[in-house]
Amino acid sequence: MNQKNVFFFVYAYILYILLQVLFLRYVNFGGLAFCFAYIGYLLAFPLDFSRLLHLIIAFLVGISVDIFYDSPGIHAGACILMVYFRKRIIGVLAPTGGYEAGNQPSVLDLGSNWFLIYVSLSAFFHHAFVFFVSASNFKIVGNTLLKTILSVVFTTAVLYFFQRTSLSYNKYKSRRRR
Amino acid sequence: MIQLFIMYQLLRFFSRLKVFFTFLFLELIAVWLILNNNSYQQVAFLSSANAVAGNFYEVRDAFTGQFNLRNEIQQLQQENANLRENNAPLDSAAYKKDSLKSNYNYIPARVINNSVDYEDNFLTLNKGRNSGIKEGMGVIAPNGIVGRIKTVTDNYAAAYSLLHSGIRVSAQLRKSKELCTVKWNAEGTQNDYQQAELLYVPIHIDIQPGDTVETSGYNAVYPEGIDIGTVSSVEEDMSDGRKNVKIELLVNFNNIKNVYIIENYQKSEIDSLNQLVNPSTSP
Repeated sequence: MNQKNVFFFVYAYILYILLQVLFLRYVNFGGLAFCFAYIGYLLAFPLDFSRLLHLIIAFLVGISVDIFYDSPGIHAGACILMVYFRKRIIGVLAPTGGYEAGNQPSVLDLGSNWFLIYVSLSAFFHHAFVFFVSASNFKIVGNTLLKTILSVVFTTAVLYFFQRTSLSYNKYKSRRRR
Repeated sequence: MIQLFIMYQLLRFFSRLKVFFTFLFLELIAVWLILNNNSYQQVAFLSSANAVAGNFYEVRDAFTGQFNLRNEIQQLQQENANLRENNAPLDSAAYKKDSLKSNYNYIPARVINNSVDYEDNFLTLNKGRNSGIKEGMGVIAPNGIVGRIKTVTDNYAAAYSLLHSGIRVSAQLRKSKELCTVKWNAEGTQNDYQQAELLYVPIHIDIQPGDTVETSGYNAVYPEGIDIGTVSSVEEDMSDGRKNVKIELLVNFNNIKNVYIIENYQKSEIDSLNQLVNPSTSP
């Protein structure tokens, strides 16, 4: 990661958190499907990024969201869990012949299928933690599980939409340049 | 020599597992924060009353609040009219009497952040310690109770909404003054922001759909007689000798903007008395 990248990740941090707490927070379907698209920030780190640093960043991101949600610890715990299991998920999803050096976890580098499975598996760890920890009552496991699954679908759809948008934007830009 | 070897092995062990230990350490901090969340000692900067969060919510409110101003003015006018009506009889000599002096002070505030879709919902208010707000004060809207202050910073306050799994409000039926407790989402099945349940209603109590439920004034947070809701359904549960009562909340939690924070001048007195009588209940 060079210096330019570091600045990029700081800007992205602010953008993702603000998008989450000022806008996506108020969007949901029937109180069942929620969107926690800010995890896209943590999932966008390079595949070979230092796991130690990544865990610490995950904690900071989670706490920032927690401050706005008034739920200290819940999102932090969920983000740490998700980032800890990222290595496993990446390992399971490795294409035959392994990853190429410099591959980014994006649709552009690894394709739609890879991206969708990667995001939904990671989102499942995160959302399950959030919903099961904040469930006030353990008699409603079914309801909580339903919430988790629907929210995973919602979050994944939103993050996939971001990817496609940036892809078509890049195509548009390169076409104009020519 | 052997000590050095053991040291070396230990260091190697830890450095190989350093990611795991970092994970464990951070996760433990998170769990500790979660477990401490519902105490008033909670760190104020980890709540939405935090200056940065408060500022962002205030800016957001400045934009989104514009769309609803007409509606808001109407609500406030309605409240004004009601207050004028109630005030008319007080314009007599009795007004000067000491017994009519209120124990309560009402601090107006604006809701800059609110949610209804989670199992624990919170509000952020644009008044804080500088306006005399303290932890534990009650929050009401013109037509009913809203919640209770959780943490305050200099300029903002975070409050538990009535729509929070940890909030129970001591209430009574307006017509018979029978005591009961209001809790939202008691079964935890549906997060319906328009409904709440009455707990501990014995089977002999006469309660009909349409009855009004109000605050009892027993816990020094809310004055007596503030509306909470109206009874919507009553079911007798023979197995435990209680009635299952559902109430319709009067406040539209999806759309609250103007609230009052209640300061009780005698709260510390009442709390210390309660402490003497029943040391196990914390204020």
